[in-house]
Amino acid sequence: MPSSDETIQSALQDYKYGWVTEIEQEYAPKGLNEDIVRMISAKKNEPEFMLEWRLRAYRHWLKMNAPQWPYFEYGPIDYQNQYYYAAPKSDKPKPKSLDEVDPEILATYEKLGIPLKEQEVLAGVAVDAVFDSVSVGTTYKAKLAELGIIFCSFSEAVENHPELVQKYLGTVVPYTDNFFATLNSAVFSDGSFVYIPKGVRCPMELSTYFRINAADTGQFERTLIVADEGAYVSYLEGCTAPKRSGNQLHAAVVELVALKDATIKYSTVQNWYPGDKDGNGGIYNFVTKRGKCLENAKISWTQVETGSAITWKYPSCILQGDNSVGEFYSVAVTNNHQKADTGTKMVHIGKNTSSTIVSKGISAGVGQNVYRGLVQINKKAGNARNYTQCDSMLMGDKCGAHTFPYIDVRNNSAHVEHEATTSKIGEDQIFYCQQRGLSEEDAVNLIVNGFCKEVFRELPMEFAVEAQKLLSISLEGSVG
Amino acid sequence: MSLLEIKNLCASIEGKQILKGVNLTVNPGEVHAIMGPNGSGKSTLSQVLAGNEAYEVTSGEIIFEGKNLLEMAPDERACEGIFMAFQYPVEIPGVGNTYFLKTAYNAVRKYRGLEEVDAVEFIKIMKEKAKLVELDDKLLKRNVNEGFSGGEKKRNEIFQMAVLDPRLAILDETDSGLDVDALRTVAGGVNKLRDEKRAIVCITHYQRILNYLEPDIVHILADGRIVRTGGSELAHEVEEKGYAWLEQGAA
Amino acid sequence: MNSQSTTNAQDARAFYLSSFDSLSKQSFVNEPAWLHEIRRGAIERFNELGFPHTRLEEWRFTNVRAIAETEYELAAQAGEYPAEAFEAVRLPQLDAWRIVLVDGVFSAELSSLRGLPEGVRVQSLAQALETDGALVEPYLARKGSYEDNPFAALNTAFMRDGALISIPQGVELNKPIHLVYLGSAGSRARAVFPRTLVAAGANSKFEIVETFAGRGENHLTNAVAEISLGEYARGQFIKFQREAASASHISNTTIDLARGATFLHHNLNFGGSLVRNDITASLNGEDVDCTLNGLIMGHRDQHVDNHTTLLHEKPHCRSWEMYKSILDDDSSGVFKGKIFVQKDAQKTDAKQTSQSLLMSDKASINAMPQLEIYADDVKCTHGATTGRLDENALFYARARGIGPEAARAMLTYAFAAEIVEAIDLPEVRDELEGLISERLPA
Repeated sequence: MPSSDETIQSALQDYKYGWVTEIEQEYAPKGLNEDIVRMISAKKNEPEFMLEWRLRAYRHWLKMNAPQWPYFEYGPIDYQNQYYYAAPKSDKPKPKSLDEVDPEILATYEKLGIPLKEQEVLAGVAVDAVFDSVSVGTTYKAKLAELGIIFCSFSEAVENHPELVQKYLGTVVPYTDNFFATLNSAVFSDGSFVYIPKGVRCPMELSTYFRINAADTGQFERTLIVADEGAYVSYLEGCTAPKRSGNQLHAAVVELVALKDATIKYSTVQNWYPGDKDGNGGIYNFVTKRGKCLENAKISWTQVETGSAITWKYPSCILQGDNSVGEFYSVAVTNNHQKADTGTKMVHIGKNTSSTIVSKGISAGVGQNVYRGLVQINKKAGNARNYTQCDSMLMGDKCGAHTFPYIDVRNNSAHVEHEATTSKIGEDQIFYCQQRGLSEEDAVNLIVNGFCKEVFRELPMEFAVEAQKLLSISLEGSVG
Repeated sequence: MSLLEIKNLCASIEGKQILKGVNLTVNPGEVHAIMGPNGSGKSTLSQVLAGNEAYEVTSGEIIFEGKNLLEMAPDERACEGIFMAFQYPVEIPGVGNTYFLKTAYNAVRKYRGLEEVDAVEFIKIMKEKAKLVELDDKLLKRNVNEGFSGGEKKRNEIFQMAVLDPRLAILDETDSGLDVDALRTVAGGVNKLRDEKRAIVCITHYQRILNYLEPDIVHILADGRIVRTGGSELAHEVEEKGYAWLEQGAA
Repeated sequence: MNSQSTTNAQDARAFYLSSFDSLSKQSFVNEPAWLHEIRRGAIERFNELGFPHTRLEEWRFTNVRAIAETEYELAAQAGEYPAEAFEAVRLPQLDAWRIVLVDGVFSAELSSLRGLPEGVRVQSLAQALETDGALVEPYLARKGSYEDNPFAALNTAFMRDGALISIPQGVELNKPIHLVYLGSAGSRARAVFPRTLVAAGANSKFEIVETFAGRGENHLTNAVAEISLGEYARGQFIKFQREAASASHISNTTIDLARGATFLHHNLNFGGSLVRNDITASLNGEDVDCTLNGLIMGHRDQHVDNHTTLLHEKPHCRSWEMYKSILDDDSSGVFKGKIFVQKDAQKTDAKQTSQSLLMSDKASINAMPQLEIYADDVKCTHGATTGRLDENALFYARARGIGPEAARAMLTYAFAAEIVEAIDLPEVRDELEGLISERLPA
């Protein structure tokens, strides 16, 4: 058996998305001030209301402090020493179709396994590709348009559907929400926008693929998904970044609006660069994700978090309408020096609302994994139901697993159940598998995949396979 | 006077109409069987008789010994002498079986103007009745139905019936989930409790428990109404032909 | 608010600082230097910390402004405690050694301490400090237990009396000790700072019942208990909190457990308007068994907040925790239970359960069961449930002839039963049953 150090080394080499695309980039000057905010807005030809909103956010941000409560300490982030806007330089104003996209970028996505060609592998999945600060192309746009579905980059939405953007932007995550969301509101560069009209069931998975390429660049994308009454959409998000020695900030905001009878399913496979085995480099993934459900609506979050040096996110559901449903399924893996502080908030406001939380944390190396969650049953939320299950698995004696649920019940017709377990990966199980001929690594994969099954089941097929692979790569060498 | 008289009973749950005009008369000493396919309303009928507030009686009457049963709370009905053996007996952690039953026994006695019994006397009564259904003494010491097997739970129901001595016993699918031996024991217990004053209504999907109970009258319930009434031969007919022919006949 | 109130936290702090200065020149003046050193450290720490506010994570759900804004009477003089009231709380059926304090002052008259085994001390802490300071010194405030808690710091700065219980190595007590803190009724809001010290030697065995029975409305009890068990010692500690309806009760309990020790703590809350208990158990040796149980019977507008911490420092220890809250009327409950498993504490087996029953539509609960785990070969679980009485069970009981109130009472009692049954003293169990029954639906 190889020593664990060697295998960890090989696992690290297996961050196979760590290369850099050599492409000429256009940057805004480093640092942050009102002029940068104005410049970003001008670059994007934004209407006045957007600039106003950004400036309000920026001014508010100046008065805020970075949160102190997350479990992990990280060095201070110098907000003046990074770029807030980076885009592939192009002589032409903007690619009109995928054919006009810089071939270097198309090749990048090809290499990432996300071909931006409609007839290829991911047929049935429409992709919006975000490269550093801007969206470089969206597939299947025309086909979706036939159904009245809008799926485009956020910038395009601001240009072509300003009334929708103005109506919903900031209604779930206001610009005052928290330090990172406020920063995002001021400087966000691009992201995806989805609108599903009344009664329409989106016939394919919609997907955004985020890629950080430029160095010293913060990525601030913003996603807004609106499912109108009775609509249905399933949305996937994936992310990678090159290996770089410094830490890069990724502070995204995702807002979901599920109107009456609508359903939004949002899946994430997060594989940002986690840093090297000594904890150098890697992405700070500080993300605000929240959805609002009106009557009979449902929002389901599924996330597989294998990357990033630090992950700090709580995809949440505001169950405002009666009979609305919120779900959160999560797998978070921390190996080497990775740290994850993740979980969800389920805020029950309407009557007969229900929520389900299933969280699986896996810690290896010196990784630290935190589940932090809130289940709040408000006074008027009659007959609310919540079931929460948080399981943690530990591999090796230097890692940690922590569970911090908050249960706040103010209505006595509520029924709230929370269960949590923390245990070591079963040595007897590994032995049993080995005795039947599996290698130790295969045995670990098998057991860990079994441990995470409830969550993987919630992912669309292509992503589930991807997620399982990522999990094995993340954990290579963690037992032995 | 008849013991129980149900007139044109209609009931719904969560807005869904289940019983659509049930008529039934039960006299003291009689054993009735109510058979019917799944979803015909059998369990609804027993829950409504016991007074489960989850069910809404939309019209009709239930007269028990001349009194309007629908005006009574579940515990008043129990004190009046109605006993339902639950299809799914409820587990109550933290409440001892003996304590539970003694509380119930004394509540019923008090209602009937009798003196309450003390623990010593009650244990004597209990031991005697436990033999009827061959209930293991150990189960008496455990919490109500907690950790009981399916068969033990059903036996415990009949044991409670023996202790509480009702005028009318409603057995709601008491045979479900029992193997042949357990069924024989439970049915044997019920048979020992038959007398000319007490009536038994046995609600079941299958005919097999009726082999032991030998009902006087058999009713078929389908789509919320009693569609056929006859003697025990009716049960055998169901056993042979299933329910489909009856439902066609009813339509 | 009345004229005794001050308006801001600064003033609230100033009141204690100046009171401390004047007491230092009077009552504390003859104390040994080491004790004064401890007091001074504590008041300085209090000055740094100030009164907690709800922006602090540990105090999010408990607002102590009413305490901070009251200038309590701090003088230590025992008031009158009616004999029949004492009879009602002294657990007469319990054959025990009794040590009684009234308004924070030892009462020889009410105490009965005859026949203690040789070497066992159960005495007034003030007297012990006077006569045997050297014996007390190693146990008093020795872990800087007030570092993070301003109330513990205040207790340490202002404590006058309390109980010292010391059991030598190998001594197994054949009778329980009942420690009774009485508070007399009085017109001014009074604060008392009782201090309990329990030091049990290796292989010893004890049972302690601690009762807080205050009659003073708007009074504050700010108590600290320090309990330590030597190797293989076995102990049970039952705390009955029966303060007056409008009183505030704040307590800090630290428990140190050496190798092989077995300890059961029962935290039973009935009285008080604002109640906060912090209980921290450190499992400092291998093979320790520790149980922390708690019961809240909340009614009216009571607010009861229990914070427990189990520190697993060494391998092969087991801990169980069971907290039950029954909240009626407008009452609110908080449970924060932290299980902390250190890197060395392999083979830890920890199980925590918190269950809450909301009896009225105005009652509320905040539950925060937390696991912080740094060792890998462990088995830790927690579970939390919140709801009202099971409708199916209620219907089942009623279908057997049991009336609605009786059925509710029976099921509510059953909810609390596990806590009652875990108590190893029948007389105390009976008392607890009685107290629970008084609060059950009529």
